[in-house]
Amino acid sequence: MAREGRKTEALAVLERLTAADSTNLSAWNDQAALQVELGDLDGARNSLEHALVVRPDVAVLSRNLEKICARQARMAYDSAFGTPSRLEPLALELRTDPASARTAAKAGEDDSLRLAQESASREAVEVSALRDSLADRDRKLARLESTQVGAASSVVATSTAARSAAPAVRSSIPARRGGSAAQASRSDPIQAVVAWAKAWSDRDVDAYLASYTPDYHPDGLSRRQWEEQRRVRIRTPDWIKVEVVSPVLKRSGPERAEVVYRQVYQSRGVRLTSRKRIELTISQGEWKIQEEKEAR
Amino acid sequence: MRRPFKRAMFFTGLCCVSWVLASDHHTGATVPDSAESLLVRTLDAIRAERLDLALARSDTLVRRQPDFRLAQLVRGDILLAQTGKLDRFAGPRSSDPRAGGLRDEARARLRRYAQGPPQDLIPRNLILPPSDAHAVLVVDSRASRLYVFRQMEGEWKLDGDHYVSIGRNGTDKQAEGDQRTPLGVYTLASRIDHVDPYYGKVAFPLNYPNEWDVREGRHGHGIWIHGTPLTTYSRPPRTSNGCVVLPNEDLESIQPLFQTGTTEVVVSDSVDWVGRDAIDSVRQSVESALDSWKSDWASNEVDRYLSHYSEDFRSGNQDLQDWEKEKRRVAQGKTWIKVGYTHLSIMLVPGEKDLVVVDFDQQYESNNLSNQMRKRQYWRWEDGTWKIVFEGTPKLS
Repeated sequence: MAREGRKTEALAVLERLTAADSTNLSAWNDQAALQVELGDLDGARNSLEHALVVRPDVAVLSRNLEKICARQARMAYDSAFGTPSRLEPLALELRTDPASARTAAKAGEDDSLRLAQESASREAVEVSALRDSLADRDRKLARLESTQVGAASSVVATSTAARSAAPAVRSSIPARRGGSAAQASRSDPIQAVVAWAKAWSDRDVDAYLASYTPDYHPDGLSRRQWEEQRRVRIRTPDWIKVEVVSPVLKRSGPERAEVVYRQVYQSRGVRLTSRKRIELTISQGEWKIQEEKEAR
Repeated sequence: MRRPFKRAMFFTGLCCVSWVLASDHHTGATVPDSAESLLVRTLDAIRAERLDLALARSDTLVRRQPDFRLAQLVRGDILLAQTGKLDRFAGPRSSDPRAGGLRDEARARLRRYAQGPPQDLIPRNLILPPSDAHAVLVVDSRASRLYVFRQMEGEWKLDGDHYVSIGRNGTDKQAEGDQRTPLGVYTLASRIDHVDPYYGKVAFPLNYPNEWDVREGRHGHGIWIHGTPLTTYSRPPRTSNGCVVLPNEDLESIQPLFQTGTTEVVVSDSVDWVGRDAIDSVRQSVESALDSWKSDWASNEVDRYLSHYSEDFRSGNQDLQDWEKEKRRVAQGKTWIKVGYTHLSIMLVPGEKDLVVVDFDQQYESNNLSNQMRKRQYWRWEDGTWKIVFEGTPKLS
């Protein structure tokens, strides 16, 4: 859980990096690698396609894209024929470094060598810092944040969302250091959402249902019908993985909060990515889900 | 975003997926964001050599409908084409026996878009559908399509069509276990709300075998209209044991129109779409035959009455001789007869030559007996005139 959280944070930073500078090939590639690790293959594919629009000739990017396409093709066929096959973890090549650029050069693309080397060295600092940040996050992440803000001050204004994401992400740190999920959830709506996603992933229906206010029910269903429906849907698959990616917190009152995030839902043969908005309220001293909808 | 694809890679994918695309097809108007229209638009993008667009559309499609197997297969092909490793339909899974079924499904669904149902024409079978029915359903087995007709401004008009799957061995069911879907005119006999999830959420048994099937010695049971398993969006064209299977969302959308005991389902191999003039002339000729039968019956002249019956007539255990004997006996006690009918319906029976099924409420009065009944007759065109080959009450279950 903690590792996933760090990856999510690192991803948020990378997303801001690539938004600030769409020619940052290393950042795109690293972003794709993290997205793969977080199970967001569509996102990873998009990242690499972005990078390949900038530089169609960087072999590592193409190879990584092919890897993802091949994996997704296999998953699609598995879904088509209802025959899930055992999938090894997918690992992308991480370095868009001179070695790979040289390969391109051999193919007679001198220009690409120079450009790739340039961009590689330009980004080397940021990217290695980022990669390290997965292991030694706190210090490096802070540094990166400032690098990034400095490097891209013009673009950072793109989103208040990005800025409000930072404190939200930081607020999750104490929860990891100690304390039960319940304590964390009292203090932090994002933790409540993460705990809810974990209960869902653990297929722990009681904990899942307890994440909602006692009177919650969607339109058209009674609370009992809804609970029954959720129980079936959560218990039926043999595994579920729900990830909360890039959560952004908005407090709309002392007892009201809103978390917008990208949800990656996976189960056997199923993969759904959506933007979600969850409204929470304090109920019996804890943040509970009051409303759940697609965002945008 | 458009990334330049390697041409060779691209064409490999293109050849493999575009076999299904008719050379000249237009996208017909249906539900714009249905899974089917998204699939067709995905394939359109492939045809237009826009693999990137095709991939983006397939992303949307499988997000909306992850259990749409054909969509997943097409997506697998598009993705694999990007790696240059797609050499045939369904790539590395082309030898899977189920690949052929999915290819057939793609063909059927695309054909619908290549050539939508004709405007302003209706199936020849709908001569005069029951006036109190909200809808009439027409299945075209070769097109893997179910058409819904509704009365609008006094006319029966097409109001939507849906992909369907039928029996493994096709149509013309004759016997229990032959894995075929019966051809004919059927009625929704009942509604089952709690079905095994394999059949979706709701099922509507048909009255197979109906009186004509019984007369022809056909047997078997359990022919339903039902949905797909809850984890499967749709099934290939020929996969049922004889039932007519619709995707759950399609069945959900049309089932509010279903009236058990009333809604008729015409199951045919190939719908013959005709103009209203053609329908009207058949309707008039059947109605005039019926009127003349009615007045000959009321005349109590048994020979004239019997002239409307075919040599081939049968009703239950009775053949024409039995029928004649019975009628001559009854006629002796009559001094007067009045016959009337209301709520007439006339349908052309698919899979038969010039056979119509005629239903009506019959009001019979005579000096010694009066009654009212729902009557069903089958009339066949023989030597230039309509003859009754079956008469009885409708068998509704």
